[in-house]
Formats: sequence, C-alpha cells, structure tokens
Amino acid sequence: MNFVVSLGSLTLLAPLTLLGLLSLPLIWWILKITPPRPRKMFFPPLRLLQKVKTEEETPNATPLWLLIFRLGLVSLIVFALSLPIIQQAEGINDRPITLVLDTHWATGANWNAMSKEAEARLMDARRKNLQVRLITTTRPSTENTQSNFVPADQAINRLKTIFPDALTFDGPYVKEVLDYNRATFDMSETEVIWISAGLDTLAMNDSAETLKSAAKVTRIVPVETTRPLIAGEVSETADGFQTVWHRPEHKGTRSSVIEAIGRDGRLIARETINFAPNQERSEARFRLPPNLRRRVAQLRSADARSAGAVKLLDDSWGRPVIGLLAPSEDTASPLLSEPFYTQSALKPFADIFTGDLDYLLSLSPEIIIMPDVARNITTELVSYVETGGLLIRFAGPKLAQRADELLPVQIRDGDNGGRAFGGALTWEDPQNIASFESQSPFFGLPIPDDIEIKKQVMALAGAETDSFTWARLVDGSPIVTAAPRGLGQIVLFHVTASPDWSNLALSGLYVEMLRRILPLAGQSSRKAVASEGDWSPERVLTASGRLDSPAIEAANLSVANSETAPISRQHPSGLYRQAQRLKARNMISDPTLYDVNSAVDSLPTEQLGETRDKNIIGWLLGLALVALAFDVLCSLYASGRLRLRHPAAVPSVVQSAAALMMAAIFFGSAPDSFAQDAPDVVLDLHIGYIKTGNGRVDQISEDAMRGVSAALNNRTTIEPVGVRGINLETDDLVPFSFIYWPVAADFTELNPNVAAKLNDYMAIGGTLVIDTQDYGDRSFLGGATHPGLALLGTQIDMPSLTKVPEDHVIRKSFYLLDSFPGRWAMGPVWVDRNTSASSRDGVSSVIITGNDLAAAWAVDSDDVAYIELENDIVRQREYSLRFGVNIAMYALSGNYKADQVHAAALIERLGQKPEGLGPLAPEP
Amino acid sequence: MAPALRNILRSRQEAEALAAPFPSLLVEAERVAAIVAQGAHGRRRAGQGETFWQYRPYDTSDTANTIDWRRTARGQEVYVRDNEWEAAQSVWLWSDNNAGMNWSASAKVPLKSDRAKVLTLALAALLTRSGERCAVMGAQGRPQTGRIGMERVSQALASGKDNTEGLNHPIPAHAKLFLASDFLQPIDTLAKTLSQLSSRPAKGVLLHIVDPSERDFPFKGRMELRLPGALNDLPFMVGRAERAKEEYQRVFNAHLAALDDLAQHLGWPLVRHYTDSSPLPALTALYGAFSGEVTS
Repeated sequence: MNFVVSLGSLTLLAPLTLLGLLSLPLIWWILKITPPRPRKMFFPPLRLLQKVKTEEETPNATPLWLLIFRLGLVSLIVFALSLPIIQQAEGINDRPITLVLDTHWATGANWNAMSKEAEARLMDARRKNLQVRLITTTRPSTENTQSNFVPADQAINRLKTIFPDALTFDGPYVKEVLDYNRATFDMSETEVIWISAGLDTLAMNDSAETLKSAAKVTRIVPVETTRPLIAGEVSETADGFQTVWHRPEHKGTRSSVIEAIGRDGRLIARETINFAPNQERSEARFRLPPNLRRRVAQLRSADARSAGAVKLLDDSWGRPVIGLLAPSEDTASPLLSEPFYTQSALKPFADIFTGDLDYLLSLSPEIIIMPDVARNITTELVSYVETGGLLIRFAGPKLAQRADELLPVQIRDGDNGGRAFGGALTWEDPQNIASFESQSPFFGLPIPDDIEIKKQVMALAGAETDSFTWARLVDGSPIVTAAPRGLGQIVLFHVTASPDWSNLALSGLYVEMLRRILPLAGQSSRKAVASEGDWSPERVLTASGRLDSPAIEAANLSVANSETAPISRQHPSGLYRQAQRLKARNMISDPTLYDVNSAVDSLPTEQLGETRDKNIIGWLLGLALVALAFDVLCSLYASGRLRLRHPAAVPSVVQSAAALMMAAIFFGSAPDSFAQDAPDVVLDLHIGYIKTGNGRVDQISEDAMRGVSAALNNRTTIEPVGVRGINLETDDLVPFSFIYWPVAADFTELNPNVAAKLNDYMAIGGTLVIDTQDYGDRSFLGGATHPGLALLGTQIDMPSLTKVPEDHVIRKSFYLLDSFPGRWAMGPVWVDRNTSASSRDGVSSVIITGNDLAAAWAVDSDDVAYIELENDIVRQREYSLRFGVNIAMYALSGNYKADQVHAAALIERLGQKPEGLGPLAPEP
Repeated sequence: MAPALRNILRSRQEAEALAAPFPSLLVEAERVAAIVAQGAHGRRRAGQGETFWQYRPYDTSDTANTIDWRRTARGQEVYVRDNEWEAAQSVWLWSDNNAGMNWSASAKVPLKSDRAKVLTLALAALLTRSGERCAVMGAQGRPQTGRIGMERVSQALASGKDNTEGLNHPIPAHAKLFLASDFLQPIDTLAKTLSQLSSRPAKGVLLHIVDPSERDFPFKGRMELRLPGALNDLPFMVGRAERAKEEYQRVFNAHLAALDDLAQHLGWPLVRHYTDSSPLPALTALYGAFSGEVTS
C-alpha cells in the first residue's frame, strides 16, 4: 500500500505510524502514578521531627518537566518511524512523467550524477504513484524502441540497465518514441523532465518542439564547468603540436587539463587550457621533442572525460626523425641530386637531418634513407638495421653494377645497369606501376596514369621475392621490395630517388608512398598479415572516453566508406586496424556542429544535483537515542540518585553532557593528517607508506618502514628522520621519493582525484612499491588475477612491466642482489619494462611484488623483528633488508648506480669460481 | 593505623592550627591585668606567688624571712614584701560522642563530632599553654598542664566510644566544665543532667554544635529518615519533605530557645556553632567565655 502524506516539502511515507501518538495519554498516566524512589537518610534531630504532625503520605509524582520531556521523546520516535522525507522539488505533481535521459557520448563525466538524478525523480514518481516513460537519446541495441507509460517501479528497473553509449544524439529515434504515444496520449497532460548532458545540437530541435507541448518541461543541465569539452583539430608545430578544444557553453571562464597519453596508456605531457568568457575555443600548445611527440597516441581532457573529449591519433601522426645519407662530396647542381627529391617529399611529415653516417647515427633516427650515390654498407649501418632501424634504399648505377648484402631481395647481378625500358635499344615501353596488393602498405593509393618507369634493377624471381614485394610494375616485376632484417627492415625502391630512371620522384604518388612507409619505422618486425582490406575495429571508445575492446556488434569498415561512415553502433569511434596500419575514427568530426543555438535553449532549466530527497529518519532516530540517554540522567536526577552540588548547575551540566554527546556523534573520527606539519616532511627525508585502513596492515607497514629506515641510517648515507603513514585522500605525496603500498585483494576503487594524484606522483618521478603480500597464497591461486591489483591497474597509469632483468639497477644500487625476498623469497618482482624513461632518470614508477616485504622489515618498539619468515633462503631477513636499502637507493639515485660502481667487485668475482655468487656488500 | 586514631590525629592538627593564632590566656591576662606570671593568673590579692604585689609594714605574725631588707634599709620602718596570690584552675572537658554526632548531611560539611573535638582540643591547647590543667571527663583521673596535658587530652578524645557515662565522673568541687554536644536530647533530660553537674558545685561552658541541615531542613520530595544509631527502628517516612520544613523549623527553634533558657538559668555561657561556618568565631567566643569566667 502506498499511502503517502505530503506537507509542503515534508513527506511522510508511513503516516499511519502517527497513530502511535494515541499512546501518549497512557504514557502520561503511567508516568504520573509511579512515585519516585524515596531518598534514604539519617537524621539526628528525628525526634524533633517526629513531633511534627506530617500530613497524609501523598508521594510526589514525576516532575512535570520530565513528564513533558518523555512525552516529547515518544513523539519524536513515532514521528521518525513515520518515515519523513524532506524534498526540495517543488509542488505536488500528479501528471504522468516523461523522463528524457541523455545517453549519448556527452554524458561522460556527468553520468553518475545524471543517473542519480533520474533515479531520484523516479523514486519520487513511485511515491506519488505516477506513470512514467523513460526515453533514452540513443537507440538501444536490443530492446524494442517503443517506450510506453509504465509504473515507476518498472522504470526504475529499466534505468538500472541503461548505460551511456559513445554515440551522438539520435534525433529521429527520440522523435519516433515521442510520437509513438501521441496518438493515445495527450502530450499536454504530461510533465517532461529532461536530464541533459548540457550539449545542444540541431538534431534536438525536432524533439524540443514536441516536448514543448507538454504541460510542464524542465530541462536539468549540469553545472557549466562540468559540461563536455570537444576535441578539435590537432596540428603539428615546429617544436611540438597544438590542439584546439571547443566548449558548448560560452559564458563563464573555464579551464581544463589536456593530457597527452602514449600508446601504453602512460601520461606523456599535460597542458592547461583556459577559456575566456564568451570564448568558444581554446588551444593547448604542447612543446615536446620529436621522439616524445611520436609516442603520443591520444589527447584527452583530464577532468571532462567523455568520448568527445578524446582525440585519438593514428599512425599518420607524428614526425619521425629521418636521417638522409648525403654523398661525401656535394654535387654541382643540387636540384638534380637524389637527396633533394626525398627531402622535398618528406619535409612536411618528418624532421630530416642530412649528413654522413656517423652524424646520423648520433641522432638515432627512426629511418635512414640511403640514395644510391651515398651507398654505404659499413657494419655500423648493418647493426643499425639489425637493432630495429628502418633503411630506405634507392637503386642507382652503383647498385646496378654491384649488389651488396643490405638488400631485401636478391638482385639479378651482371645486368650492368639494370633493366631499361623504352630506350632506343629496348623492345619494351616504359611501364606504369600496377595497383597495389592488399598486404602492401601502399594499398589504396591512387596511381596516376602518367608514371613511367624507364629503368629498374631487377630482383631475382622467387617465392620469397614475391612475398617481400610491396609494389610491382604492370608486368609484375617488383619495383618496391621490403624485408625484415634482424629487428629492423630494409625497403628498396628499385629506381633512383631522383627522376633519372623514372618520373616517380616527380609524382604525388612518391610522396604518398614515402608517407605510408614512415609509420612503419620502429615496428617493422611485425609480419605483414593478409587481410581483405577492411578496417577492423581494434579498440573502441566508450562514452566515458576510455578505450575498450570492441563490442560484438562492431563491424569492419570497408575502405570505401571508411571516411564517410557516421559513428554508429556498427562503426563506433575508436582505433581501426588494417594490416599494419592504424586508423583513428574520432567521435566528433566537426566541433562547430555543437556551437549552435538550438531550440532546446528556450526550455526552462534547472541545475543538476539540486533536487535531492533528504531522508531525515536516521537523524530523528539518532536524536531520539541521544534524548533517551539524556533521559537516564534526568530520571536519575529526578529520583535523587544523581545529586548535583548546586541546583543552579543543572543547566550547565545538561548542556555539557548534550554537547559531549553531539561532539562524539559528529566528530567521532576526525581524520588525522600531517597537513599542519607538512614543512617538516618536506625538509627532512621521510619514508612513507600508504594507509590502507586495515589497522593491522598499517601497523606492520609502519613498523616495517621504521625497520628499513633504521637499516638505512645504519648502513647508508640515506638518513631518513621518520616514517609517515599517508592518507591518500588528504595527504600530499610529493615529499616522498618512494612509497610503500600494501594492496590487498579486497582493494576498493580509488576516488578519481586520488587516482589523478597518484598518476601525477608517478609522472613527476615518484616510485610506488606495491606489495600484494600474498605470494604464499599465489601458489594455490595459480595464475589467477589479483583482483586488487587489477582494479588498481585500471586506475593508475601502470607502465608495461617486466620481471627485474639480470642487469637492472635495482640489483646493484647498493648491495648486489639476486633475489628480492620478503616474507617469501620466491615471488617475482616486476618493474617498468622501459629502463630508460628519460623524465624519471630510469627509475621505474612502480615496483610490484607479492613477497610481503613489510613482514620481513617490521620491527617492534625495541627494534627487534617480530614476524616469522618462511626462510626460503638463508639469512632471508638480511637479504630482504638489503632489498629495502636497494629500493631506497634506487628511488633516490636513479640510474646513477647503473655505472661501474661495483666494477671492482665484479672484476674480482670474475676471478673467482662462477658459483661464488651471492650478494657482496660494498666497501663502507 | 586505626581510623579513629587517624581521625584524632587530624583533629589535633586542626586544633593546634586553630589555636595557633590565638594569644594564649596569658597574653590575654596581661592585656587585662599585666600582672600575670608565666603559668598562673594573678588573683589580685596578696598570697603565694612569685610576682610582686605590695610592701606592707611588718607585723609580728610575719616570719623574719619575709622581711624585705633592701626596702627596710631605705627607711626607718621594717617592710615585708607581699607577692600576688596565684592559683591554677583545673578544667574538665567533655565532647559528646554519641551516634548522632558522627553525622553530617553532606560531604562538604564536617561531622559534628569532628568539629566538636577540634574545638575541644583547640581550647585545651589554649588552656594548657597558659598553664591551666585540663582533663577529659571519664577518661583521665588528674588534670595536667603543659604539653603533657595536651597529649593526654588528645589521647582521651581519640576514643570514638559513646561517652555519656563520662558525665558522671567525679570531679573536684568548683572545677571548670566544658561540654560540647549537639544537645538533641529532650530538654528535660538535659536540664536534669546539667543541674546535677552544676550542683557539685561546678561552673561550665556549653558548646552547642549544629549541622546546617538540622537548622534549614533543605530536603524535598520523598524522604525515608532514620535516627543514627537506631537502625532497628522503623524508618520515618516523609511524603513531601518541603511541606514539613516550616513546622520542623518551629520545633527546632523552640528546642534551641529552651536550651538557651536552661544555660542562662544555670549561669553557664552557651556558644552555638554551625558546622558549615568557620570554627574560629566559636573558639573566640569560648575563649571569651573562659577568660571572663576566670578573670571575673
């Protein structure tokens, strides 16, 4: 039964409980007739008193004030049990409700608030017993699209299944749903609530017109500063790149942080953008060196996360560093020289350096282009290719005369000048290039008709040659071949880089072909895979702007409409792959579409998050409990068992008791923080650990950090003055060079602010020592995922990890270590795979282990270790402490220790037997 | 250490502290007559003593060794030197110790018996310091003076026993009495006891100790009252104590008036002391009563 009483903003969900107030007279009567307990006393002048004739024995009743207090207490409980709720929504509404809930991409960061708002509205409708229809603004993938008026209960259930899609506002769908009911239902008899993401498009106009005919329309929009941002153009500049960002509202100022994220999900750079009032766009300028610039894979807004606030960059992005081998002596006419054409072709897309091999290798370019005139087959070049470089060669007279070993395919030798067409002594005409095969990186490039290849070097025919061929002439002879060599790759154009042998170098095709090759640098070890040529979705964007695996309905995108197909469920935005190529489909292609004044603007709006039902039952019952406790004091006082020295002191005693209770209730747990003594932390070295909230774990962490800092003080020049427990919510991480963090399996999700703080900390060079403390359990968990760590991994920018390599600095930063024991010794330790992270001096941002280091380090107040270890190895605790010392040294000194600090010891060890391994303490 | 002993030690310390600022009776006597030698009061007539009183002409009844030759040599006549007559008084002390005295209405007010003992000891200290001899009735055979006398008195007061029988102790005629009690017995009983003492003959000073709640009756609500020391009696129930207050105070004041009448009738000064007030005024009053009595 839903019988509800509303009095203004106060709603009673169970008003019948108020009948309990009828018991008040009974309570009055009972309290009235129960006399208080007499006060017992000795009284010497009793004989005198006995002479006094006392009147009849009418006991004094319960004092009136206590009686009133108790009746008030009972009334309070009865009132609380009638489930009162304070609502801020105005007015009593009894019309059915049409709830339009934005589910398109722009919901992004606001989705939680929006769904809560929707839920609050539906709850309210349920209390008022109203019919509701819930309309989403994207077409659901499975459900039938019709949305009828249903009881609010059903709508609440449906709301739980609704999630935002990375799609645009589906105007036709919304119109369709709205119109579905119009025949049976008069729009003017309903109330419309539109929970909007705060982004208007022209597509909304139709729907807005329909909605306006309702009796009452309320559009609930988020606060301006949390509305979505839209990523616009990205363009490269000489020293970096700049991106344009748009915002849908223009009024106030707004600022946001734009992050440049690498392919591996790590933060590369961040810039702040500021929108001036009435300004719709703002630019972020990133200054990055070329090698970092190329690693940027996406740009996103750190605070307004949504699919539209992410700019995905594909392999057309980035300016590779290209070395162009120049002939030793300058030719007289530069316009005819081979390097000139290549340089001109690539200049817009790459940073080109010209010089001899020694100079080029010092730049470590991704690609080295070697025209024939500058032929160089020294071992340096060979090793450059074999360690992952991409070498682009052009044929020419030198190569035609004598083949060398740096070739993708074997060249027919002895032709003395290669194969020539269309000359006076040749039978054949100059040939054009045949259309490219699908596994070729050039696939899809249009081939101009006027290309003439007059001369080429011939590859030896064979199956291998066929598979290495990227382009052929019309007659099938290879014109561009490529083959991996070591980790690198060699690409050979069978013509000259200059227009000597063909006019390819003068055509636009030449530029396009070279452009297609550029992204292959650094990834040439990948085998070419055969594909039908469609773009297949690899990673797709979710509405909140994260990259995720594609849903099952995501289909391949044919080359034909790869540019034109709109974003849809079948073709979502995200990264698409075609063989070796990667293509980004961004959510927003034209940001100016959103810079409009649509009809939606005229709808009356409310701010999101302003309507909240306030449940005051808990407060009332709590108050009643306090009053009940107070009543104990009162009745003690009334019965004379609690005697106050001065009757005048009663109010103050009462006040202080009440204040004490209130204080205990409200300030029961004041957060402890070291904010007030932060300078102390900054000025002296402290070792930090993160408080997990589990008292036992935190105590052990604290003891462990004391143990390690004692070891550091005793053995090294690192002299920490103290240990700090860090509350992630409140404390600053920056003063700590490394932080020990026990992560349990029941680790709960971090607050986004905290995650951002951790990411900042890691980005500026901090090291998190993450300890799952569960290696013992791992043995019977098998390889199961650690749930806490998995969750953490989704929140912080975890680098790609590797087990500590043999030559890793952490093995030798102070002690020489070959194991990293804690309570267990056999668990692996994981560090950043990339040991040359330049901004962090090679220090891994995370060190992950399950060995429970804290157990081995922990000491009690007498500095005695108190946790029993598994003793997998001899002197395990000592080695564990040495590991701790190494971590501290590693975090503080970086790769400084990677040099020959232990050279003497190592050389000495070389003279010994090989099995004489074992950590060797450095000289003091 | 037994609690009683501890109590009496404390009482004695308090008493000495209380007596300390008082000029001894000697000093008082000096102020009054300036003729008192250490340890005795001048009787203002010639007699046995050490203090010079007068020269008088020799009489044949005088022995030769009483002649003051130095004075005689100055003139023609023979003079005899008279000294003032000095005599020490013996004071008999009695501090009531019945169950009703071991009571106070609240922890802030001392027990009536404690206050009575303190005042008794303070008085004894003053008296012994000025050479009087003191004894506690019923506990000591012979009054003593000086430090020893004080010690004996405090030992005797240490006993927490009911000492009503001590009033029947034989005392020499014309002794001084000091009685401290709450005098809550029926007025007839009191009159009988006191007139018996008075007829020995003896003169005395009464100290009436009153607890403030006995005077004010500040109780409210239901009360269940018992007589101290009479645990077997049925308690006396008062339904609304505040209503009985007026009537009680009337009866209590009548009792006080009767007591005053009795004391006046006997010619014994009566000092009334409320335990919530400072004992000093009471001691002053007692001191005055004794000085006036002794020096008159």
